[in-house]
Amino acid sequence: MTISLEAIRRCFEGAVPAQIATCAPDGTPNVAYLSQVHYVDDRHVALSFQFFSKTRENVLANPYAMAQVIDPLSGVHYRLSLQYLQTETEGPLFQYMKARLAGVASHTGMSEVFVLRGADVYRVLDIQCAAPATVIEDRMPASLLPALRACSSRLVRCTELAALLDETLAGLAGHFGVAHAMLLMFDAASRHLYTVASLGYPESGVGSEIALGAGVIGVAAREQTPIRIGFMTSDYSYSRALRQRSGGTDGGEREIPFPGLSAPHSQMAVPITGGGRLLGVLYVESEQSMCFTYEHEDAFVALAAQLGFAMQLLEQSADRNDAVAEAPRAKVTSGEAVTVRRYAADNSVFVEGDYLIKGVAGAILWKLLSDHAQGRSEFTNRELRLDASLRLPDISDNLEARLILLHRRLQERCPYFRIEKTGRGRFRLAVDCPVRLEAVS
Amino acid sequence: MLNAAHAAFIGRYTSMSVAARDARNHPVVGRALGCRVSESRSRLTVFLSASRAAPVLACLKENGAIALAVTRPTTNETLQLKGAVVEILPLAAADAAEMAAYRESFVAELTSLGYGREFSKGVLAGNEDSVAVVVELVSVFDQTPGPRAGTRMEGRT
Repeated sequence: MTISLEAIRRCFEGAVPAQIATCAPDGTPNVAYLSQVHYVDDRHVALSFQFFSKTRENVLANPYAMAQVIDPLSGVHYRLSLQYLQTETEGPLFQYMKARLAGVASHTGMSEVFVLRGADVYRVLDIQCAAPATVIEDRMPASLLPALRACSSRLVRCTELAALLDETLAGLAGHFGVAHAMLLMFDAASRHLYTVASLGYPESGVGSEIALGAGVIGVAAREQTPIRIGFMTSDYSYSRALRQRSGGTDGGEREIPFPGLSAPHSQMAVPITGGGRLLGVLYVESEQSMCFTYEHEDAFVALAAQLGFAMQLLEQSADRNDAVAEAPRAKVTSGEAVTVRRYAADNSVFVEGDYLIKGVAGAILWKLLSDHAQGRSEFTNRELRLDASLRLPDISDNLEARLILLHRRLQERCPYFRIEKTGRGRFRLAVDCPVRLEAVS
Repeated sequence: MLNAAHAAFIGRYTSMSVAARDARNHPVVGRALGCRVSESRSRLTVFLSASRAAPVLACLKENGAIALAVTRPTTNETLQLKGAVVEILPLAAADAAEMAAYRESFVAELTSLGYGREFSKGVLAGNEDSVAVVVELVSVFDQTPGPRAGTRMEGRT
């Protein structure tokens, strides 16, 4: 193979339709246009199977095909000699292609007819350039390795999860020019992802949730595959379904609005995993089409791998050095009491009638406030982890992430109390006024 | 073979791709740089670059089996024409004019979609060494994306 598949990845961005030639057993050639040629790895591509077509009939009888792909900048044509291997109808590759196809379909006004039935996987036997050698320019995309390196060095210096999250977003903005990004953590019990940090939105959206399987973020998480879409598609938009889902007995919302762009033209969600488990998702988006390239995907997948590793380490080390602090009595405060109401059904907590948080973070806040009423204000991660009333999952309880979520929600929405870090694995609940606790079963 | 509307559709504003096959029955593909429909609408003259579409031309010389897909990018309207090569000729004076007119129309189409000049130039490169491939049409298929794609529209049975 004289040209590597990797070197021409730009041709697979979906910006220019490709063509595929096949042959019937009787020797009649067939040529058709293709919505999507998907780069699988340096030896394989996958073609979108949308309709039962002559192309499909031919490759099932005679597995050889030739695809022609076009460089979206230079217009140079490349011909890929292919051999059909198999069709995938589920799993990461299928889901990735389905999401991308939705973007391409929407871009070309073909949403109604573009439904992915399968991902046809082909082995690439040879690649030829149609242009004379002198015309092929060496226009490799600018390397993102320096940006990745700079970002990476910021992360290795972090000793706490909160800093790790903030440095990741600062690195994306500073070194990759990303304007809108989010970090979400996975809650295995509820099968939801919750936002713990964000970049570039009017409201941080910390605490907003996305169900596993919903939109680009949910599908990337469920399939544990990165998903990158270069065109706007309503199929994967969060703006409709996920904004302001209501339903509460306190007369208020129990959902925190998702902060994302209402009409992103480029989206990329990269799962963060550790030890084979899903930990969260790194999500970036843009108002511009085709903002993120294969090189961004490579860089962010590498970054997410480092994030996953660091998250696990920091979670474990947060329990260390947590010798029980000498517990000073909580300060006695005076003034008007604020009412904190907790609904046991979903652990949702309302402060003065306003929704604050629910789930594990809600249960933690309720426990802290209850203990505080008994005169305690100093706490350790370890005791929370051992507290049966919180029902934290054994492994991967993401306690640190939940405390960050709670800390940030309090900071944004509640002027009456706050969480102050007092050391590794230790913190204080500071309360500025008397609190009236009301438990609703 | 072709109706008047199809004949008018094919030659302007469209992207043209040609397929052929070798002795092993492996397919090859290349771009066509224009085509002309004969007065009887039963023949096509397809213009191919001798260097850029070399694998296709080699197969066409060998066995003559050819397929041509023609699509208009702004509408996705697509036809596929199949046939057999009658002869391969050097360009005549009228052919060059036809290629230039086609080229102008397709560049306008690409420009309206936001593609730049450099891209269009790259896509349509190869006029300088083109040849004229005369094809006797056998069948025509509607290949506009959708459930009707692949429907045979006209042709011998």
